Amino acid sequence: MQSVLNTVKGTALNVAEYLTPESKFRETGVLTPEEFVAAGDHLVHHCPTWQWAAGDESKTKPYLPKDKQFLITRNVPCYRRCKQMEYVGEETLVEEESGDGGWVETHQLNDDGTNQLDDKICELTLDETKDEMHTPDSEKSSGVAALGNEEDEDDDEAIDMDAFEESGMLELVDPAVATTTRKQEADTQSSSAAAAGGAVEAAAASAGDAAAGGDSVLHTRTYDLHITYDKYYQTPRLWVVGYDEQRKPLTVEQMYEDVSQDHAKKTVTMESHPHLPGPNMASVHPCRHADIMKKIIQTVEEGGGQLGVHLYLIIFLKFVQTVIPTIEYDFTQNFNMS
Amino acid sequence: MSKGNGNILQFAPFESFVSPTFWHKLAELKLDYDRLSDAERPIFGHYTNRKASRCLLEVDYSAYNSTAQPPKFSHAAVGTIYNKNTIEEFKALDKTALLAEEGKRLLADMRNGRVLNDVNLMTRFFVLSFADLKSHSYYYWFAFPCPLTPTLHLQCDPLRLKDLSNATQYIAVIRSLAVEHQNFFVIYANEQQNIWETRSLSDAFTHFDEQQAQHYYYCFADASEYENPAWLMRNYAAFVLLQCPSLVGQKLNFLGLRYDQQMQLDNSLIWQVVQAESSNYEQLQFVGWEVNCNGKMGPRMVSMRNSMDPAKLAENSI
Repeated sequence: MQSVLNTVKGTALNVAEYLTPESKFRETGVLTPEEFVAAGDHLVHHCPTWQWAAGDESKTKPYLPKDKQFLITRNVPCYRRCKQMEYVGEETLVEEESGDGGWVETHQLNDDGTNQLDDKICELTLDETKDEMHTPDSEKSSGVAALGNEEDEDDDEAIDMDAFEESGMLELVDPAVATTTRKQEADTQSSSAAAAGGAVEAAAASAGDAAAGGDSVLHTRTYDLHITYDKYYQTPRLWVVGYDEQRKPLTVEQMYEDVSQDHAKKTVTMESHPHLPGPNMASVHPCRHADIMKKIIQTVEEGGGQLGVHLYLIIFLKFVQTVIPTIEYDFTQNFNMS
Repeated sequence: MSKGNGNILQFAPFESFVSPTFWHKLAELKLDYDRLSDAERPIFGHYTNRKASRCLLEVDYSAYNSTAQPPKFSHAAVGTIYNKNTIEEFKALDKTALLAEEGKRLLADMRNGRVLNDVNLMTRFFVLSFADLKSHSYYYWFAFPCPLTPTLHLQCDPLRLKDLSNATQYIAVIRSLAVEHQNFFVIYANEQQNIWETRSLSDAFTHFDEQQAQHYYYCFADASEYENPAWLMRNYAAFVLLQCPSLVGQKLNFLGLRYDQQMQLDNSLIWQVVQAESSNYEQLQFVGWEVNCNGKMGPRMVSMRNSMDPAKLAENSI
């Protein structure tokens, strides 16, 4: 229901995409398009995996430079699923009566330094997670059942592609074409994982996999992350596109496995990307971003510091990490809260 | 290096890798702009030499933009899409003639200097397609045109860049050039005089100095993960020998740049090759159609029903 609301709100309020206001960053935590570009330039400069993209030219927004429409980083590894992480209790669910949007706080952000899990909270988390996972939606998507379904439905469309083959074209002898065969799939998988993440992470990931039910295959997914400028909320907005090991795009339900269960279908919704053609994409809904940013600015200022607007995206990426805790994107900078 | 072919250098053929957004954008263009026109459209693709997997040439929605903006650590490829109106036209089209026509354009670009001004033109591809907009099925066949010039003979096994005694000098000079400009360039490496420098193709070939040719390393971003260089080196070699026919029979050094995740060049390879006979440019044939999933000469088909069919979308929406 919430996602429907979000969609309706998002579409209806597109009408409000008007004037560029002056900077209100310090007071309200929002960004002008110019500030977004400045913060994006800073991110691209300091985290070289990020780059600007032009997007689909027919969707170019006039308030942003033509070649700086949104930011993208590609092929970010994601070694394990969120539920594996939640079961081992690396994340604490903080129920907030104050209605702070239900963000999940990780241990790194806890000031009191306690990392002992409160048993009751832990149980609650597990129960809730289980509930979430037994929704009809997720059951439909999980594993064999879904595969079977799809195959059944596609059967009626089976087309004989052999009929298109052209034998005559093979008569031209070309001695310089190599017949390439990949090394053992398992071989390349483990070596690429080791190359990508270093031995420690690979070991950790396979340990995680093993713990999740004796499955020794490394399910390394990759994600493309996009940051667009949301004209209505005047904040950055994060989009995620996932791929499996064969770089086949993940389904919505598969992607929800990599979203903190607390945020799936609530903070994370499916909407149409402002710069890309194609179906709806998963995005972290921006309605809380400005508030969170404002709080961070205040905390920094109470400590006597000052937060430059160019750091916006670096901080933004840190707080959206709680939503996608297993997607290991680069963040190389630290900033001081006090 | 590979069984039964003596010392002939073989190339890893490109494999097409199509993002679903490529078909979404094609459907949009066909419905809103092209309609009944089946005129060809210029498109762009890209390939990467950072942690390359297989030997991929990728296309996505951005293929149809007016300027190429390849992803980070990737380089642009220049292509054309021939999207036919009916499956019959798609099937009946003379594939050999289309390949020859595209090949001749490529050769003309190599000859008339367009490649010197825009090296991306050396990495060529085209797509023959039919979009069945009713059933959301996309039939397509990629080709990576390439002149069938006499084979190149390897003078020794490929060398690893890191095994060269002066590897650090090569790596330093490569690093002096922005990664975006590393798709095709030349290193001039003169050990006696201790000169190491990079040159653009237009610098190197506009006034080609045959006396210095022995010091040239023809460098390219190698999209191949195999021991074989990527397909695009074939066009590169053809280009070098077309520009300087006197190099036929001489040893040529090709350096395929291969970055790993940490942007190290250790896995880069050097092939020392000789083309013994000169090419007959008037009678040149072309190769490059991609094989299908079964390794046969044939097109591929992808069903986009799950992400395009309104009924399917409604079914899956929450």
